[in-house]
Amino acid sequence: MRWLVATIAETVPETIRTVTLRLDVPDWPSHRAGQHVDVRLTAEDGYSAQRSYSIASPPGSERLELTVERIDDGEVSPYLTTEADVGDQFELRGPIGGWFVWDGTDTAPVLLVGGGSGVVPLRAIVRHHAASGSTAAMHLVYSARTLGDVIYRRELEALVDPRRALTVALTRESPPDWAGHRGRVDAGLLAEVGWPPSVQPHCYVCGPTAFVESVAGALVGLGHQPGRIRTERFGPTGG
Amino acid sequence: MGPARSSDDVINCYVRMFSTRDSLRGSFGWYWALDTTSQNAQRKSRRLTMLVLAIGGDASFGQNVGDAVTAVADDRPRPHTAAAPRRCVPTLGPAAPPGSRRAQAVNALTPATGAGRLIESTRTQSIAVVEGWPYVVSCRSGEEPRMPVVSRGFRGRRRQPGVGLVPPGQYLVDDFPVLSAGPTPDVALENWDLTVVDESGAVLALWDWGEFRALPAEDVMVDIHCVTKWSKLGTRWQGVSVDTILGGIDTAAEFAVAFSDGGYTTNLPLVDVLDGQAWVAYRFDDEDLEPEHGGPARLLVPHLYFWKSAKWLRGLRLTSEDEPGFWESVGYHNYGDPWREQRYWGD
Amino acid sequence: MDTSLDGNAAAGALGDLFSFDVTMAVSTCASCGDGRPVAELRAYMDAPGLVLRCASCGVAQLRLVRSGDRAWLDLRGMQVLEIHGATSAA
Repeated sequence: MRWLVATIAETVPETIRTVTLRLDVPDWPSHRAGQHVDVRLTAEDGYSAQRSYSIASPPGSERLELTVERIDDGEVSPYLTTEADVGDQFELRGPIGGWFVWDGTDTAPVLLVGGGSGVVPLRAIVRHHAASGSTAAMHLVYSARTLGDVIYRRELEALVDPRRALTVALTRESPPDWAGHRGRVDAGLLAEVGWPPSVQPHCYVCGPTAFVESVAGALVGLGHQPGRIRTERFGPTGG
Repeated sequence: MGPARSSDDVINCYVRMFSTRDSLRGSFGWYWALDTTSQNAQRKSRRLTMLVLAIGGDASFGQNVGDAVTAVADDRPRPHTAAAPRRCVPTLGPAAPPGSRRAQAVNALTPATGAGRLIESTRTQSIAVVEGWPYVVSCRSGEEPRMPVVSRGFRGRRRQPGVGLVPPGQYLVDDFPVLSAGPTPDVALENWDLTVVDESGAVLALWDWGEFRALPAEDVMVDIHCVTKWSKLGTRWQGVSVDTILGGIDTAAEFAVAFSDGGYTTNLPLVDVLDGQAWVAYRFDDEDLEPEHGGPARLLVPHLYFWKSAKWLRGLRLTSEDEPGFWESVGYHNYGDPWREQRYWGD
Repeated sequence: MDTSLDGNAAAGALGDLFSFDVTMAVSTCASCGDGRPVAELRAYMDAPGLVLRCASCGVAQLRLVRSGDRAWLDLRGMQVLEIHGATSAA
């Protein structure tokens, strides 16, 4: 897999901490919803740093999209979210990963659980589900600290239909008239909005490592088979 | 004689000189005069695309460098008339921590600070003018790289080029990167012990935490060099010398394998952990060593790449044969001397 | 604190070496016999090399070191790797 050159065509602020980069990548092969890319930045003196980012756009979109969350003492995300501008370039390699993908080739229900920036690959899956007209039932459970931290909020709400449900859990603070879930994603919420283990849904869990381990543990505790649960840990800080 | 300040016209002269094609050919003349380490020998056989003064190793500091560069420069036509100074000085970067190797070299070279000025910095080298002499402060071998795309404005973690006193290929960092090949072990001190064992597994010495902390300890300040290219100068540790650990043991073994919680191992010649070259360290920068940096105790062997300074140390196994450890058995150099850039097999 | 990621995160680095998506292959741990897709192993990406550890017993199943155009790969921690068809990533 060789390194390709990505040129930033557009930057879209999503929340205070996140920016979506819309990229032109000549020779980009098609990808599958849920895959990621490796991004490499090289400084003038040859020093380079590399990070992985989930692809935020579904297969078939006009441009490749990455949504990056700024980690304050990070090395790469501050550059991508605050310095990088239209016309700037970096290298990327991909698409990568055959594990954390959803193609919609079967009709089993799909439970997507994302924490913070873990919603990025799940958004690609939801958009792919909508674009492909899949008949599988899909439910996205998205945990964020506050309403202002919810990435893609309008878009995800607009995609809700009889086959695509959305539950947003706000863990730190919520508006007084909040109709979604308050507090962490726990076994109770997962049992309420998900499907019973006998239905054998596909489960995808993505976000900071602690979030993923807590949710995956809760799903197993509810009786879901570990083999039906696919996880993508973003590391201690959440990527 | 005090250091002369470089005047702008001297600096401008050197900028003009080294920006022309002819002067690049002239750089080979400089090159031949210098210390012929094996690295320099390799560079001589490759096409150089940048001006390179290969500086490395003890022999390159001080009078040797100054005399060598002067001798070569004297037979090279110069378009200016400034007198050639007699000394070279390492340039730039922050003040060297007292007692560090860099401080020692700077003191040997000049009676007082002779700071130079950076006149040009490229992807791979910096050229500074010090007391009227151009002096390349970091260099790369002339391999033909596939040029990666440089991202405008990307700087990365705070770092500086290695200024003469770090091994080749290294850069200095402010932070203390954490690199782990496995989870951070969680061991209660009441369950911790440090052992020295022989090849058959027989325990030759053992200390529990209390006994270990009662051993005579030293404060040391050392430079550390990670194979992933970062270096930190003047790091301060407190620990027990391995001479103390092995002091009461009679052995014919020639090698040691350091072993840690989590299964990590690294191998060293026994002579490299004796004679004041190694410690079992439990404090860093005046605080108890944090788990992510190897606490409660780690091996500290600063003259080798830092992967040899095993974190979460639990003991030393003395062996008659050399047994490559966790990284040495999958590509990393068996010995790991940063000054000879022994990073991988075959280096 | 554990800095590990899922083996899936190593697919890029491993994709340089294997002509198939090795993260989709199923490995059997040589130490404890646990069998699962390589994508579910615990990946330590920060080290001087890449390490994939058994999700059950923690033993290193795969170690990879890169230097320029050289690579060293140690799979002694895997008893066997079961590969299904042409499981390429794209």
